[in-house]
Amino acid sequence: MSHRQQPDISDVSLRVLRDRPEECAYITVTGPQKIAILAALIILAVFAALWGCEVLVVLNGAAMVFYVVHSVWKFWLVWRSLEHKVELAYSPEELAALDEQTLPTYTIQVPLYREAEVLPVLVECLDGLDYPREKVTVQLLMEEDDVETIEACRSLDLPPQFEPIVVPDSEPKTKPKACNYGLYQSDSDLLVIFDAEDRPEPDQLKKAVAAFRDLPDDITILQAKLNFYNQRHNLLTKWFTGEYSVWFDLFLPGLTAARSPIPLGGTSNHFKADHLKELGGWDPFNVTEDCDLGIRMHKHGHHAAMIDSTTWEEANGELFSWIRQRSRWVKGYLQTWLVHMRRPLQLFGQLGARGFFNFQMTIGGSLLCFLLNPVYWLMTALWFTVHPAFISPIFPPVILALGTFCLFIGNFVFVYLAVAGCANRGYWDLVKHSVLTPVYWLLMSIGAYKAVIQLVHNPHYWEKTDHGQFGGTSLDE
Amino acid sequence: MNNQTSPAGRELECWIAFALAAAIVVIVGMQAAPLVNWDGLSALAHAYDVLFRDGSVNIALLGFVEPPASVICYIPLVAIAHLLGNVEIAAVMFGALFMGIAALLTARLLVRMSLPLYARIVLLGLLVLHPLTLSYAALGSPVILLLVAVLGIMKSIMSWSDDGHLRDLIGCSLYAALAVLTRYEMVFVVIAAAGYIGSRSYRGEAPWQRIEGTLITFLLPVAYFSALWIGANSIIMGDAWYFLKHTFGGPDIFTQNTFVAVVVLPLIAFPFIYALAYHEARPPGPGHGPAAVSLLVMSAIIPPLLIPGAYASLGDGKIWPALCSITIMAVGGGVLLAAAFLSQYAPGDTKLTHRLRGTVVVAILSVGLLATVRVGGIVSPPTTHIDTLRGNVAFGQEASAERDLGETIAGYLVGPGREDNRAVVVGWPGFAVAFFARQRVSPLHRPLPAIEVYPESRVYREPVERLQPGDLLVILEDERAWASALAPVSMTKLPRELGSWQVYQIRTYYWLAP
Repeated sequence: MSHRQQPDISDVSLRVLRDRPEECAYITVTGPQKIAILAALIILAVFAALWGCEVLVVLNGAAMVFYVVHSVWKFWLVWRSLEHKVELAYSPEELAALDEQTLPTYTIQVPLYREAEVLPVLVECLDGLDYPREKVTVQLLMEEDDVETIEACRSLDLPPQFEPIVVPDSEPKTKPKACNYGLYQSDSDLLVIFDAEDRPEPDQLKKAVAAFRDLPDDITILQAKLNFYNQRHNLLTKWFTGEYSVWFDLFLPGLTAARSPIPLGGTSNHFKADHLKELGGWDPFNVTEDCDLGIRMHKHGHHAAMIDSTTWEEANGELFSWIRQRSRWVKGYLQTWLVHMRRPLQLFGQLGARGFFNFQMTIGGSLLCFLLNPVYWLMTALWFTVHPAFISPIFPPVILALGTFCLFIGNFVFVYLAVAGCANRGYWDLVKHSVLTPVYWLLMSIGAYKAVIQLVHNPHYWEKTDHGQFGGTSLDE
Repeated sequence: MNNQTSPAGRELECWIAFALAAAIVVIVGMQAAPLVNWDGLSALAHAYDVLFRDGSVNIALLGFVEPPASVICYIPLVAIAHLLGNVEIAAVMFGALFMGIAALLTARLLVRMSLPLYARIVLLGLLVLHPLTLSYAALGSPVILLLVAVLGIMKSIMSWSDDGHLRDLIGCSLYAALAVLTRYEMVFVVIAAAGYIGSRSYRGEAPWQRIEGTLITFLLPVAYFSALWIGANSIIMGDAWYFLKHTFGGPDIFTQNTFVAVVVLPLIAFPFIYALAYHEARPPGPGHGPAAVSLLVMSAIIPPLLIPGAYASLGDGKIWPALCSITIMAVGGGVLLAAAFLSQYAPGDTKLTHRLRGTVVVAILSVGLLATVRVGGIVSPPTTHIDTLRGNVAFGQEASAERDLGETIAGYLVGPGREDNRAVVVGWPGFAVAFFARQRVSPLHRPLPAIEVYPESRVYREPVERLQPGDLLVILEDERAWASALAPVSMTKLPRELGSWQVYQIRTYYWLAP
């Protein structure tokens, strides 16, 4: 195990809380936010009591406007990605021309918790990365109570660049806490996170180095694309693949091209390590620490770009496990939105108008879609079946026109984006499954409602996803 | 500007083309102002009904006889024109906007082909100043929207053939959906495009999966929006195929020789279209994109030869309105094929002589055929170039009689004590009469008067059943066809008579059950 000087676990756990409490999710909803929410609810209740139908009309109209704007915005960003390749790409020749003597040092962090089964393959994969071994440190971050994984690690003949690190048991027991523990033991120039089941392309580190060299200094984060190696396991993994293909191949590149904050993926984020340390690392209390970090770094002048390299992951193909995973992600998005909206005017100043708008659409907008969708699906189903009397009054002509647009055009746009995501990746056999994406949206909404409930009762609980469940480690052809 | 211009400069050039094309249409359109194109006016009138007829937006009034795309595109323009105080200028706005877009699309492709500036100017001028396209645009005909869709399909498929970029496939699919909902017969062109895309996708690993996925990506928008339209017909009109029955319900025999017309009209529209299509379709071509355009042009020309009756009913047996889709394909395709031709050869290119032999033969045959037909007067062209520039545009009709009739109706409906009365207009162009009547009344009264329009005389019972005492009945067609249906109705013929159109006031009414 690592014999470096061990940082104080409580220090690294609470650094963000200590140094930047206003950006920490330790408290989910602050006092002023509670007051604001309560005041809004009271005002809404009073208005509803006085002018019930009109209030519903206004709320309905606002929802319709949101849906229209969200649909157009998302399509616009994806179209930008299709029009011009945004992510940085490097040919094998360009990478081969890099002088290995001048390559920066790299730390690869792999947080592990109950990952004994995938450990051997993980080690083999990371050992195969195309990067001088003497310049790489692979931190295997294991929790103190995870005896099984620790024993499995001890039993392996690890290559010299691998550094098992046991994270002392403490609260919160989260991935970002473990990453922080490893971060402050690292003295590398660059740092990247991978998950236990990840299979990054061998040349990803060199691509990141080349990109950092070519990009302006304010680009301190690089996000690689994520996709799945078990795409065709079942219908759920096919939908999941379509979603990831749109998100990482088309949507995030469009967002980075707009110089907006991006919600980082949980893995394959490449950082200039010093800047990450300056900001205190990840927020251990946020269950989507990656999303939060992307926003937080952007606020402080650190911007992100995408590189044309893929890390292959394992798609969760078990329905209830998928819902638990999705609920954690949505809960994390909620936490992130609440944290960064504590001071909305300050956030506006830090992100600028475009960045602020894109933040609201990406984080808040996604949440709102998940939560509103079932309401409107139900209303649509009721309208076409039993024509309840309460629906017509809340859809005056203009709002009805917007609603009609959202129903027939907006929904089609999102289905077609899923189709485009698969087509863009060359997953031609998955295209037909993408047409059924609306069913997948229902699952997303289920996860979202679960997340809202859990945010109230157990905001920092981490729904662990089990890995190694769905097939082997080779790419699924 | 030349090909060494920066990307920003080239983009600026394309937008200058947009602006100039739009300006030309506005100038010609304003000169042509007394004239109307009935298809354009129909779309404009329906857009007006959607926005204003019921006092609020009612999308169900967009009309189910004509394809919906033009009406939908007219809606925002009619709203703007209404604010400007003259709804009819929406026609010129429509033409200017979409001619501008057509010029923009073409300019971008010409720039991408790295053609010299003079060639780009000539080709763009050919497109914008062509008597057919300029006529359609000046009068706000939906056919100018079809030109945009056609150019979009061709440009996208050319780019996709060369680069395989997904954006071009998606662009092609969206333009294809627009084309089908602008003119239904464009479905044959879309089928041909799908066949081409499928054949080009048969490569690499798992080729059949590739074909499947590519075709789903291409056809999904077409299928979806077509299904929406069919669904709307089912829900609102009670018949999913209402639009087809009424679009293809007219006379199914051409007034002129079908074969000659179908073969010659593209030559009149673009004299060397067959020669260019032949040149680009032959293997081994330097690029696949132009071959796709050749295929699409021919895919528009062949169906009328196979099912002439269907096409004849599109234009009530008249050649030019029935076959406008193939003339537009010829113009749009001709410009793009000419550009592809010019981009292949530098002056003094030794390949020129060898590759042009067959093309020259086809060109000579085309000229000969055209000369023979025009000498024989078999197919009459709609107008000359100079006429068009002077505002005497093709397919323009005087609508003074319809305006006067509209004024008559308006005057009747705003009379004292008649606020609850209606006008029932049967026959063609009832939509125009209703539109002009509402224009006369709308500045003075709210809400707009009730005017019901029945487009054709195949349905007698419904309008007669709905007649009430005090109603004004306007019959825009042969009265004799209505004689038996109107037998139970007591009517007074109003003294004002316009042409052969009769205007009656209903005195009493009772319906004899059959």
